Amino acid sequence: MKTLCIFFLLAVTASYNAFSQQIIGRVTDKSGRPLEGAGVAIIGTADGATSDSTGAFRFQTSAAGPLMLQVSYLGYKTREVPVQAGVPVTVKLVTDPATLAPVVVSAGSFTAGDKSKGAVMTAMDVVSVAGNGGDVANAVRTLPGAQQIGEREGLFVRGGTGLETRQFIDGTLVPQPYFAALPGLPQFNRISSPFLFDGIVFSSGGYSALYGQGLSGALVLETQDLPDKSSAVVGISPMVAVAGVQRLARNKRSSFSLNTRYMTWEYYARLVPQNPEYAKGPAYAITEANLRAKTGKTGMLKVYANFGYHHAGLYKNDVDSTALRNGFMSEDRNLYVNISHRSMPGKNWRLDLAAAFNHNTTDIRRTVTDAFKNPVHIPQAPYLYKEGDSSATETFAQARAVISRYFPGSQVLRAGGEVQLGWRDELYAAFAEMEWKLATSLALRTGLRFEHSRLLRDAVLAPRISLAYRLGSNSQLNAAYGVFYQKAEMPYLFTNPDLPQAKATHYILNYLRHGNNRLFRAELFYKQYNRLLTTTGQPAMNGRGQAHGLEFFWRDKKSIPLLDYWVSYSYLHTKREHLHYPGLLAPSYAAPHTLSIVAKRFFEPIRTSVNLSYAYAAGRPYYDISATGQLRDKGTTKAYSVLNLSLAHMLSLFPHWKEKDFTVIALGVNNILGTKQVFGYEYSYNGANKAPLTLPATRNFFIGIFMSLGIDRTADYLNENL
Amino acid sequence: MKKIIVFLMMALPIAASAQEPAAQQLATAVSRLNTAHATAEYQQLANQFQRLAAAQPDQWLPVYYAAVANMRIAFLNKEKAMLFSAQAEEQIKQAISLLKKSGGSPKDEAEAYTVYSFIERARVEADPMVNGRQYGPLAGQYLAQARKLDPQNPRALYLDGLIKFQTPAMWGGDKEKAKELFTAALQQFATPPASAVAPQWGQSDCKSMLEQAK
Repeated sequence: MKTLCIFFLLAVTASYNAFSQQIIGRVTDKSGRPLEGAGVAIIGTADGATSDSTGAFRFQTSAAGPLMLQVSYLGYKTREVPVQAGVPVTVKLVTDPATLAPVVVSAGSFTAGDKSKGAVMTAMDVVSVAGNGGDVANAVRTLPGAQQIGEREGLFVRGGTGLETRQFIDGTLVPQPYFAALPGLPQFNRISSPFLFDGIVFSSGGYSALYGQGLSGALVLETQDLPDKSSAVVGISPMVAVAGVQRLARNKRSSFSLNTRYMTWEYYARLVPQNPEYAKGPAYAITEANLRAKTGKTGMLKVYANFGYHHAGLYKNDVDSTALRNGFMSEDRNLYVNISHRSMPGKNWRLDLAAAFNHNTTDIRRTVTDAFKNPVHIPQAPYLYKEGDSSATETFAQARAVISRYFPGSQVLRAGGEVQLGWRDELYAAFAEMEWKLATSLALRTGLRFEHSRLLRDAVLAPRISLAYRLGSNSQLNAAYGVFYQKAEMPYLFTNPDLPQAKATHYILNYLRHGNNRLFRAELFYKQYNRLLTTTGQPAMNGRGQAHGLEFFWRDKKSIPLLDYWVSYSYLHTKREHLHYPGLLAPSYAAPHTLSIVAKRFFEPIRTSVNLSYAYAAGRPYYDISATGQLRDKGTTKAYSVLNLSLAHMLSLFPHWKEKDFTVIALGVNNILGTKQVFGYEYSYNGANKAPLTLPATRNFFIGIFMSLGIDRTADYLNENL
Repeated sequence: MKKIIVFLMMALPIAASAQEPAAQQLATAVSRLNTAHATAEYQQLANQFQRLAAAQPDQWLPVYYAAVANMRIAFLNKEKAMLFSAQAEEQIKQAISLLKKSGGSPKDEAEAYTVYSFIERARVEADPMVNGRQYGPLAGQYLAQARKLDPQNPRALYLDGLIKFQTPAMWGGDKEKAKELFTAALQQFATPPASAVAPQWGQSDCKSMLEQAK
């Protein structure tokens, strides 16, 4: 039996060998690890095989003559090697850089918006983060690097004040992004609709040389091009009424939109008492107009105008006397216009032109009153300082041009200049930046920014360098260095026009890993404030400070089905000598630990999206600095901890209309647990009494109904919950 | 001894396949595609169809099938979905251009556009948030093209049903309509393929989706 079998075997093999030959071998990667599933084939025939889990392959071919073997594996370079029948061959493949996504410089920045691949957030994320009121800048506070500040507006980034993070729209600086500040309350952003933008980059340091005048950070917003179709929106809630239309021309080459929004807290405050007392408003009327048109073959012209009117009247108890109250009345009018044009004058050229104009008048009246809001005049300190009228008019204009030249291998050179015309001053800036791809896994961005101010009579050079190195197909290491300048605020320049610019130097090291609907980012930074404004004596640029810290970010849309969440943690250690601080102190807006968690889930059967956000900030330092500059008292507030909830129910009220409506009923509660929050303390003039700075009401409620026709914004939810 | 026999049994089919004429090989591979489930199987088939396409560069079917196999991998392997769908797209584009050159029938073109739509769909499913906006409409566009060229194509009917099934009702999804489409697709699947190599994959997926829809 055995011999018979062997004989049979020999016979069969022999018969094959008579007209075919066996090709054997192995496919591995550069380091010798087997590649399973590689395709091998004899060129010119259909003979071949697929490598197994050990990388081995074996097949017969009847082809004659010298044989060439083609080996291919997706993501690797295809190789052709000569083979001989019966002689094992090992084929090593190397990765094909063309199939890897290019390395992108990303130290210090978060990209949001719908256009960008590496985006952390979409416009819908911005709207749906619980408790942010649909405000871009507020949503950014759920990212690492930004402080949880509840008593005033602005992005407080890595030990910097709210004024040190600037906003840019289509390249131009927005000089006054917020309505006139209210004492002890956060103010709204004038330009807040996230759907206006399709590119949002939040940089907590080390940003590009294309931007300047922000010592700590930048929020770079890019407006949308033409909409997909015409649409209309109306919305109503006890605090807000919204109406808008957007019309796309029939030839789809231009569009026009008009939006108006009225908000008032007057009726809400009657229902839910607020402290300070809301005597008038705060009320806001915002009208936005938008024109977008294609020009020529590649051009895109965008004109955006925003007119905002705001008034407020607040009364709160005087910290120095229980019998007295402080009144605060403000009125603010602001016109902002942004015109930008983008075109491709040549095959590898892009030209960006932009101009922006802002005109603002703000009137403020501060009064000291009795318990019945009748003004009283007490001609002595400190009451004398608590009253007075002020009126300010500010005009700002900016023009800017950037030319970009694209080189092979996604290398880009950008260069340009801008002029900012502000009060009594013109700031000229010129900048150039090159994005190099030094190797397939190494990208470098080098930039230089030159600024000259006529008023300050100084010229500064700000170098910026950023580097990205790919570690694996999903991870990269980034580093950034940069020098940043910012002019002192207007009131100080008014009396001391020769104050040099404040200066900071950033050093950033970053690790990024993403893929498969998860993103992890860790960033280590050191920031040196080389020059800061001090006001202890005559305003001078002799303050200094430093900040260092470590931040983590994790976003995961995969691990728990249907749940999308992100977690940010920031550790910050910072000290600075600035403004009225009598020496190096940890600033009162800087918490050493900040944690933010956002979670969202869409429940399809009930068509409702549930969003929860939680923020925690360790206690912040507070100080009592007397009028004479003495540090009389200091302490640390209790920790801040807030849980916000928002629900959005989607429905169609008129499903049989030709243009079906898309309606959202939104419901929200901020600080749902009713935690008492303390942001700091206000001290009496003699230092004997202190009053906590807290929320105007323990909880904040929101309810509203919004209906859109034409464009289905709910589709944004779909994309995330598919 | 046993080992040798086992080895022989294993070596034989490989050796035999190398000896078969290309047309025979294509038919065998097409029937294997009907029952394939795992990524490794699809990878073997993708490579084999690719070899057949290289050997018969003027035929649309081998390269069409290579695209199908790569598209199936793109659905199975989310990590590499973008790579495989890029490969599949290149192949389906070639199949379409071959069809156009040879004046292929609208029915054949419908097959190719259906696969194109599946490829875009694979990209959407790889990362809905990032890719949905960009590739979702493309998937719809190619499917509409396929449905127009051949309203009775079972695979196009199936994909149409699949999209209707997976999309929540408020955004135009319709489970009832999806069921109808799956049923209609299965009726068309019942018609035996025009030849052993004519497109015939997808029947079992459609059946299992109809089960789910019930």
